[in-house]
Order: sequence, then structure tokens, then C-alpha cells
Amino acid sequence: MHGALVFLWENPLLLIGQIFFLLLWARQLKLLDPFPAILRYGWWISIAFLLVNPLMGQNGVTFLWKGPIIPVIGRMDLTLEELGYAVMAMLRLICLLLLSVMYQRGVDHDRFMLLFTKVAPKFVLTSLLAIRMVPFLSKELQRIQEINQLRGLRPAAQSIRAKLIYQMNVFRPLLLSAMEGSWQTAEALYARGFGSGPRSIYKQEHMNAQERVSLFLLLLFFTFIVAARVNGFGDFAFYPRVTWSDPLGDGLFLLILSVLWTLSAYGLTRRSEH
Amino acid sequence: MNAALILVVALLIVFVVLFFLFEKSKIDEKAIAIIATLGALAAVGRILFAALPNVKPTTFLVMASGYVFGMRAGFFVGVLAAFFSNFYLGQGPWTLWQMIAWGLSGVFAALLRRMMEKNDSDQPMLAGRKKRWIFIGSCTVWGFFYGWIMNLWHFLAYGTYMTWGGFLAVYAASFSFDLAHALGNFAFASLFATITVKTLQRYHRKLRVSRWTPKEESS
Repeated sequence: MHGALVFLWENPLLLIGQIFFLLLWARQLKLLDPFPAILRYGWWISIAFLLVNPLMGQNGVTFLWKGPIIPVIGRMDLTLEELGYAVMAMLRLICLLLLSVMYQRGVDHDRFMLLFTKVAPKFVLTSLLAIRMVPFLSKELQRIQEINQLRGLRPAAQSIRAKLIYQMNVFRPLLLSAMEGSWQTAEALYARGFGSGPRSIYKQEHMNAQERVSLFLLLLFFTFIVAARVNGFGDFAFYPRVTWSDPLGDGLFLLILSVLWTLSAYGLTRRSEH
Repeated sequence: MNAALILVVALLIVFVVLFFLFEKSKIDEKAIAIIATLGALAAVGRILFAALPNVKPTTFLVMASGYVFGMRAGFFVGVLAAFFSNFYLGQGPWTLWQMIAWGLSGVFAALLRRMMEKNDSDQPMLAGRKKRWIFIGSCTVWGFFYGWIMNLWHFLAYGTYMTWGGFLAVYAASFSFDLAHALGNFAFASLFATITVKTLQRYHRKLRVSRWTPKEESS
């Protein structure tokens, strides 16, 4: 829900409120400790956007700086509105990154996949096989490296060429081993009657009543928020001039949103506490 | 409504349709196991090289899979690689774009094979310097294509008032990352293309050998 809401508004107050709520929620669930490395790379592109987009944009009327006119591109200038819009874009990105980290650290991937066993059995089977392959491949890699070491092949060789040759000596057996492993898996699937008819047994993850109610409420709240947006709540325009028609009303709207978000979050996090 | 959100919804619909087709297809257990294995291998490759920005064997492995096993396998290996590596590296709206970008690289490699290799031929693939260099070149170019597809998402996510300057800024800022990706692909493909494709082709041949069943004999 939060991921979709990020794109529903451009109001900095609502975005800051959303970030604040997500931070508190993530902190309560201990999802931000240690601080995620994911924030490392996106910043360069974001900062470039923050600097260049306002400079080359032709929107806004409150000029902070007027520069030269460049053929094709137009006038280089900086307006308050463009700067505000770029900051809003950064807030939006922070929100998305926070959500990503929370999802990554808060969701049990195996259990998540098992929710879909009935509707998409082939995809779930493929996915679970792939998940199972990860520890298998890491063990195989360790085994191959140990064998190489016993045979006198070492990665500590000085030249880059020697190191690359060593990597080839690791990669090929790993690929062969992985493929052979997949073949054995396929044989095991065949021996268990895969593909001979519809599956009779599914290991399914069931949602409990409280989670169902919470998800229903989430959907209800989302519909309410969309309806509120359509009726003008949270309206904020950057262009041609920064216009915020009802700061007080939006403050109250944020308060209501916080209550709704807290209610749905409370219902969905109860299971992990038991 | 935001253009990025519309595109994400459109991509979600495309994926739902593709997954529905995948569920309804008569794919056998061997193909499923191979797709899962190659997807996991490509995902692990991405995680192992996470410290080096954009230098990853994933694109090369997805393209090699598509080249040998065809369009469907290539696409799903790319989809799985993005999906599973992001369990470790971070899921987000960008996952869908990575899935489509890597999926398309697999599809492209499958099309490349159709153009370069004879159909149903048991001849070794990528035999000859020309074919090998075309494959290596394609892997290198896809380093840029992948980055450009991802940049599009990054750019659209900023909102409605996008300028050509902003567009250029996003693409210019990512150039070094895209170049690193392309050079990485070049290195991986130059070193491993022949042996990878040879190994995968061996299993592709095994895949094409069907099991004998009494039903087939009677028909």
C-alpha cells in the first residue's frame, strides 16, 4: 500500500509523514539495524538529478538564478519551484528505499512463496528449487576450491591472467555440478510423479483470521485514501507557482492516515511477536 | 497519475499474463529444474559480485541460457535471477524492471541463436570466431541496454515534470556504471562463453531426448 501511495501525492508534508511513520515502524521491528548498504549507489544519480533537473527545467516563476541561454536546451536557470520539486523527488526515493529494506528484512521468503502454491504451482516449484540451489551452490563452490587447493591450484597467483585461469578452473566444475544437480532434481521429480496429473498435496501457508482482517482493512483504507485524494486532500502544486491550498486540512489528513497506517501495521505484525 | 506507476502496473499485468502462460504450458520437470538451477546460478553470481558496482556475470549467464535453451528458458532465467538476487540485495519497484531487462536479454540471445545457428543441429554452438565475437559483442551491448532500461524507471520515478536535462543527467550519471557492466560482460563472455555454451548444450541435448512411454508406442 505504501509503495502505491508514494506515487499518489507530491505533497512534501505527506511524504515526510510517510517516511517518519515507516522509520518508526521499521525501528519497532528492528529492521534498520545495521543501516542498509542499499542506500549507497542510488545517491549519485539522485544528486545529479537534484542538481541538473532544476537547472535545465523551464518551469516555475520564482527565479533564484538566471543563467545563459544554451541552443537547443534553452535558458539555464534555477527556480524555487524546480528546486522544491527535485527535493520532493528525493523524498519519494527515500520512501521507496525504506520500503525496500523493510520488505527485504521483514519477509520470510519461503513462507511468502508458499502463499501461491495453489494458484501458481509451477512457478512456486521453480522458485523453491532455485532457493534450494543457493546453499547447494555455495557448498559446491567451497568443495571445488578445496579440491583446487589440494591439487596445488591457488587463487593467490600474482598475475591477473593466472587469477583468471584459476577462476575458469572454479567456474566450469561449478556449472557442471549445478547442471548435474538439476538433472538429479528432475529425475527425483519424475520419480514422484510430477506432471502426471494435477497435484494432490500442497504445502500451503495459511493466513490467520487476524491477518485476513488486517489485509481487508488495508484494502479499505487504501480505497479511502484514494477517494480522499480524488476529492482534493493532500493537493500540492509545484508549478507554475508553489501552491498549497490547505495546510491545516492536510495536517489533519496526515493525522488520520497515521492512525489508519498504525492500525493495519499492528494487525500485520502481531504474528511475528508470538 | 504518475507515469512510473502506470508503467509498473502495466509491467505487473504483463508478468501476470506471462506467469499464467508458464503455468498453462506443458513444461516438463527437466526444463523446470534447469531454469531453476540457471536462475539460481545467475542470482548467486550477482550476489557474489555485489561489492563491484555493476560488474556481474548475471547478464552473461542469462544470455548463455537463452542462447542454448531458447526464449522461454532465457526469459525465466533472467526473471528468476533478478527476483532471487533481490531477496538478498533489496526488493523494490525496480525488481520488476530488472526482471524485464534481464528477461529480454535472454530472449534477445535466443533470437541471436536463431539467426546464427542451424535449427535442431547437433553441431557445437558458437563454433567459429565470428559467432563467438558476435555473442561477446551482444553481451557487451546488453550491459548498456540493461542500464538504459533501468534508467528509464529511475527517471520516471521522479515524477511528472521531467525535463530532457533531467533525462540526460540520469543517463550521464549512470554511464560509468553501464560501462562497468558492459566491460564486465565483455570479460565474462570472452573468458567463459565457449565453455559455458558447450556445457549447457550438452544438457540441452539430454533435454531433447524424450522418455519412452507405452502410450507413445501405441500412437
